[in-house]
Amino acid sequence: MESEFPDPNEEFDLVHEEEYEILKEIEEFEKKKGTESGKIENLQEEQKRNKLNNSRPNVHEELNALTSSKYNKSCIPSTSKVIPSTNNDNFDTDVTKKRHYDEFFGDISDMLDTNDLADIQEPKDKKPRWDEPQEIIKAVLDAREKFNEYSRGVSVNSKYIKDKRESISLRVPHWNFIALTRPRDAQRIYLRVKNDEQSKIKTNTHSISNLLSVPYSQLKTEAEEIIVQNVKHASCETSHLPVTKTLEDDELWVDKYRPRSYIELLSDESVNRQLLHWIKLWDKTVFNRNYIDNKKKKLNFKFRNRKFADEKPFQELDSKGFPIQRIALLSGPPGLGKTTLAHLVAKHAGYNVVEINASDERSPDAFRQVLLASTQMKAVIGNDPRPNCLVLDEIDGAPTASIDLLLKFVQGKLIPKGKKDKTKTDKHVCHRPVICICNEPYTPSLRALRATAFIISVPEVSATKLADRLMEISRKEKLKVNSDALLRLVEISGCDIRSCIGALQYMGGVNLGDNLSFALKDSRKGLFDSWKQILKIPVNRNGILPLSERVQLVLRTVQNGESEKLAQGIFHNYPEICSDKMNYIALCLKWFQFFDEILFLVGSLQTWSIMPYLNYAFVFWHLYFAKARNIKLSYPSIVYEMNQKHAKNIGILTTVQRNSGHNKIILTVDIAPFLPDLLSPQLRTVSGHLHSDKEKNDINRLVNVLIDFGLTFIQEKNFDERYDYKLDPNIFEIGTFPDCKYRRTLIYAVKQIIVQELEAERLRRVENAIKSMTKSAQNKKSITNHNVTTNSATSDSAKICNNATSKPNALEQSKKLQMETKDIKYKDFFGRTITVNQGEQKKLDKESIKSRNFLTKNSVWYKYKEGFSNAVRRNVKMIDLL
Amino acid sequence: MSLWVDKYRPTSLGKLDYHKEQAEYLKNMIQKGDFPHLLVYGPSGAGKKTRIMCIIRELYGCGVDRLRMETMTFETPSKKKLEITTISSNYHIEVNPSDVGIYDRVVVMDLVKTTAQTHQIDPSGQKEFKVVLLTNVDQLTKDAQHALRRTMEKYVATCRLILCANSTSRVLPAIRSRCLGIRVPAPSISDIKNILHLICKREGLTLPDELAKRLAETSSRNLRRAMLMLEACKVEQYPFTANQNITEPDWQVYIRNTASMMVSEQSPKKLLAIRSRLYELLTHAIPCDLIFKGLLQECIKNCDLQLKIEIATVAAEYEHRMHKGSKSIFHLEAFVARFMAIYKKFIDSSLEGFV
Repeated sequence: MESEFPDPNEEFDLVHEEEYEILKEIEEFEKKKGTESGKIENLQEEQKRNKLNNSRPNVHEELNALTSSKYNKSCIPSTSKVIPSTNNDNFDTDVTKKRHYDEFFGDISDMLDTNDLADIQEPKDKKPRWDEPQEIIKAVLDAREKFNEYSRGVSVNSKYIKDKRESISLRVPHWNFIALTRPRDAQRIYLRVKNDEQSKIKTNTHSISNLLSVPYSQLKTEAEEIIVQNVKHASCETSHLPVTKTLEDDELWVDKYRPRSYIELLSDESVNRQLLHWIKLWDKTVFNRNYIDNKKKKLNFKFRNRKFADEKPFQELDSKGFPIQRIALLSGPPGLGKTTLAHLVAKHAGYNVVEINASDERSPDAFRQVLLASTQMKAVIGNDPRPNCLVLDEIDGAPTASIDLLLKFVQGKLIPKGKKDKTKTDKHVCHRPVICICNEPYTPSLRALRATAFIISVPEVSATKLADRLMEISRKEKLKVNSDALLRLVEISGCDIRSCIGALQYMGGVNLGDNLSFALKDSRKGLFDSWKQILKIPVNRNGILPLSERVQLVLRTVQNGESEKLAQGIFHNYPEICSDKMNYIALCLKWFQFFDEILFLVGSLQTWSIMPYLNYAFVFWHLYFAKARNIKLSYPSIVYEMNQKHAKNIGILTTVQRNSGHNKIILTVDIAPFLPDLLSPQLRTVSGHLHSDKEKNDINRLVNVLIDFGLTFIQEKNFDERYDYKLDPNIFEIGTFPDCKYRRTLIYAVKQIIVQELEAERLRRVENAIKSMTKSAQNKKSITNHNVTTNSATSDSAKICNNATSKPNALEQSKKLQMETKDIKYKDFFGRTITVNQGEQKKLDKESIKSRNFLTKNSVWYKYKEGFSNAVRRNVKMIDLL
Repeated sequence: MSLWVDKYRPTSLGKLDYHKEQAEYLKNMIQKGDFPHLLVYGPSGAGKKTRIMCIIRELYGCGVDRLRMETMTFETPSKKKLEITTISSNYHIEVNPSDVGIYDRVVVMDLVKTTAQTHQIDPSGQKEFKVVLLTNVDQLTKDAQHALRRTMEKYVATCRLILCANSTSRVLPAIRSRCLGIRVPAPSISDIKNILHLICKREGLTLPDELAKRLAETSSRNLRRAMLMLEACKVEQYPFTANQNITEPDWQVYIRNTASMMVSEQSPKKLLAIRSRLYELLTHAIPCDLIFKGLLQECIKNCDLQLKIEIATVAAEYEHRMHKGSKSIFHLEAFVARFMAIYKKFIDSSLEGFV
C-alpha cells in the first residue's frame, strides 16, 4: 500500500483531506454519543463484542448494508434483510445520525465504516488525530487491509436478491417461466426458468417467507446447504468459497473477482477519488443536497489546504449548480479496470448505471434516443428508484457525429425531436452525470470532447498490488502458484488485470512460468506510453535495469515507425525533464540534428536503408534524458500551431508579393518591419477638408502605399461588439514581434477617413486606366487632331490627383480647362457648367455636327414623375464626384 | 510607386549613384550588343536588382517598364499543381523559382525552356534574344541548378539568363563558370549618406548630417533598409533632429534580445523560453540563416578571442547542418544549447580563477 504513494506526506494531504474531516467528525460524534447516554455506549460495546464473536462474513455483510443504506431510505428494507438481527437495534439508532454525515461524505462512507470499526476496536487515547497525517493514513490503510482480509472477494448476497427480483413476477413475463399458484391467496406467480446452476443459487438464498411456494426438491437441497454451512461455521475454519466454486464453475474469474465495492478497487487511489469527487459534484442537481458548500466550510474551518483548493479547478460549480465539466472522460490502456471503476463509483454515489458500449447501436439517431431516455427519464415502475448515470464505454469507436450530439446534449443545446419550445431550454440540459471511457484520448473524433470533458487518465496498476490480488484469487481457487511466476505474468501483460486473471484461470496455474508468451498483447503502444518509456528509467524489483536491457527496451519501443512524432515529442518535453548539465543537452541536440538530416535524406532521396539508424538517436536520448521519477508529458501541439501560423503568414506574403512585385524575403526582412511605422502617421480626427496640407500629404502618401501593396482596411466586428478596421492582408503581423517596440496605431476615425480616401483613389485610378486606354486607341486613329484634348486630359487628371480632396477646386479647374479646350459649354438647370467628358467627346468627334448637337442636347433631359421629384437627371461620371 | 525606395530608384546605368566604374563597364558591354549570361551577386540592399533592371532597360529601351504580373501554373510529375508569380515585359521575364520550394526544378525546366525556345518574332530593331531573370539563385535546390546547366548552353542564341544571388557559395561551380560574375558590393557608409541627402533634397526636407550617418550605420550598409528607415523617421517626427530615434526592424531587436537571454543564463528552462522565441521568429518567415547570423553576432560580443573562434566554428558547422536538414528549429536550438554549454564552461573556469 505504502509503495503506491511515493510521498505520503504530500499526496495524502491532498487526497485524503476528506478522511481527516471524517475522522474528526467521528470523534465529535463519538463524544456526543458518549455524553448523550451511556446506553448507546453499552450497546456499542455489545455490538463490538458481537462483531468479534460473529463469524467474519457477518462483518462483511454489515459493511455492505451500511454502504447501501445511504442510497435511499426506501432501499433499506430490501437490503436490510441481510443484516443479522443482533445488530438491528443498534443500527436503527445509528442510521439517522449516520445519514447526516453520509450526505456530506457519501463518497467515503465505506471507508468511514471501516474506520468506525477500527476506532471502536481501539482504545480512545490511541485514536489518531487528523492533524497527524501519517497516523490517519495508517489508520485508513489499516482499515482497508483489514477489510481485504475479511472480505472473501465476492459479496454475492445482494446479487442474489436482485436475481430474485428479476425472476419472480406477478404478470406474464417476457422470459421463460413456469406458472405457479400461491395456495395462500391463489395468486398466480411466474418463475423464471434458468439453467441449473443459477436456480441452485436462487434456492441458496431463498428467504423464509416464500418457503411454501418452493418445490420440495429445492427445499431439500436448501436444507442440505444450510446444514453444510452450519457445519462449516461450527468448525470456524472456512469460507463458503469451495461451495461457490462448485456452483459457478463456468463463470469467468474476471467477473467472479470483479471488485464489488469501492474499497476493493485496484486502481490508483487518487484516480478513484478524482472520479468520485467529480460524480459527487452532481449531488446538488441530482439529489438536491449540497456537497460543495459543506466541503468549503470544512476547508475554511481549520486546516485549509491552499494547494488542494488550487489544484482542483473542477471544484467550482456553475451558476445553476452543475459541475463545470459535465462529462468525465476516463482514458487508459485496456484491462486496467476503467469500466469497473466507472460502474462502482457510480453505484457508490447512488446512481443506477446505464451503459452504452461499442456493441450497441451508436448512430446519432440511436444515440440521441438512448441519451434522452437514460438521462431525462427515471425508472418509475422498477423497484430501483435511483437516478441513472450514463456510462459510455469504448467511446473512441463512436462516430464523430454521435460525439458531437453528446456534447450538444450536455450543453443543453439539443432539443428533443418534435418539441420545439425553445423557451424552456433549461429543461433539456443534461441533469445526470455522463462518464465516457476510452483507450486512446487522442483519437481525432474525441477532439471536441477532450476540450470540455474532465479528463482522468487511469495509470497502470502497480505490479505488486496486482500480483497480490492474483495471489489471493489463486488461494481462493486453491491453485498452487508461486509469487514469482505471478509477478512475471503481471510484467509481461503490462499490468493488464483482465488478461492476468484470464491467464490465471485458463492456465490453471500449472505451468504458468513456462508458457508465458500467450499472454502477450500486441505491444504497440500509444505515443504517450512510448514517450514515457523513453524518458523514464525502467525499474523492476531489483532496481534499475541493466544498460543493455534498457537499450533493447528503447529500441523495441521505437520500432513501430512513428519515429518522427516520437522525436518531436521528446524534443518538446525534454527541457522539463532533463538535468541542468548543458553539455549533455548540447550532445543530445546534436542527435536531433542527426535525426533531421537523416530524415531529410530519406525524404528527398528515398534512401530508406539509412532509416534504421534513426532509432539509435532514441537510445541516446533515453540515456541522457531519462529520469527515474514520474514525469508529466505534454503533446507537442506547438509544432502544429507553428505550422498553421507559418502557413498563414506565407499566405499573407504571397498576396502582398503578387500585388507589389517585391520578393518575399525582401518583404519580410526589409519592408514589413517598417510598414507599421510608415502607415501610421499622426492625423487629427477631423473631417477631410479641415486637414492641413501636411496631413493631406500624409494621407495621400498612405493611400498610395496601401494601393501599391494591395492592402485595404476591412471593417470587422471585434469580440467586444465594437467595429474596427483590420488591415487585409495583415502584413503588420509579419513586421511586428511581441514585446519589441510600442507602435502607434491609428484610431478608428482616422482609419475611416483613410478608407474613404482609399476607395476614392482606387476609383480614380480605374478611371484613369480606362481613360488612358481609350486615349491610346484614339491616338492611333488620329494623332494630329486630338493633341490638344489629350494633353488637357492628362494635365486634368494629374491635377485632380494632386488635390483630390478639395472638390470645389477640382470643379474650378475643370471649368478652366474647358475654357482652354474651347469646348461648347452647356449650362444645366442650376446654372452650373456641364462637363462633357472624354468618352463622349470621342464619340462627338466621330459623329457629324448634327448628331453631336443631338447628343449634347440629350445629355440633359427632363422627366416628370408623379410624386417623385428628381426633376433633373444627367449622366454623372465618377470623376465628377472625386 | 510611392515608397521612396521605389520612387528614387535609378532607371538607367548612367544615373547610378555608386560603383560608377562598374556601371560604365556594363554600359560598354551592352553597347557592344552581345553579352554572356550574367551572375549578379552581392549582399541584399546593395542594388543588384536596380542594376539588372538598368541593364535590361539599356538593352530594350523603355518598353521594359510596361510590366505585367502574371501567375503561372505548373504541374509536377506527381500531378501537384504549382503556382508562381512572374513579372514580365515583352522583352524579359522575372521569376523567383525558390518560391515553390523543392519543386523549383519543374519551374526551371518548364518556364525557362519555353521562354528560351521561342524566338523573337520581329528581330528587326530589337535584340534577337530575350532575358530571363532568375532571382535568389542561391536558394535553388541542386536539382534545379543541374537542370539549369544544360539549358544555359543550349539556348544561348535566343535567351540570356541573368542570375541574381546573395552569395555564390551555394551556386554550383558549373553554373558559375558559365556566367560572367558581377559582384555588387554593399554601398559604403558615405555612399548611403550621399543618397539619403539627395533624397531629402528632392523631397524638400532638411536632413542633419549626423542623422544620415547614424541611419547609414544602423542599416548595416543596406541601402534599401536605410531609405525605409529614413522614411519611417520622417513619418515619426519631421523636423529631423540629430539624435532622433531610429526604427530598427523588429526581428533584429527580437533576435538581439534572444541572444542576450542566452548570455544571461544557461539552463534548460531558459532554453525552453528561447525555443518559443525561435518559433516566433520562424513563423514570421524570417530566413533561418539570418536568425543564425543574428544570434552569433550578438552573443559573440562578450567573448574573448579564443572563445569567439570556438563559437564561430561551432556556428558554422551547425548552420551547415541546418541546410542539410529541414527542421531548422532543431539546429537553432542545438546551437543555442551548445553555446550555452561552452559559455557556461568558460564562465565557470574564469570564476575558478578568481577563487
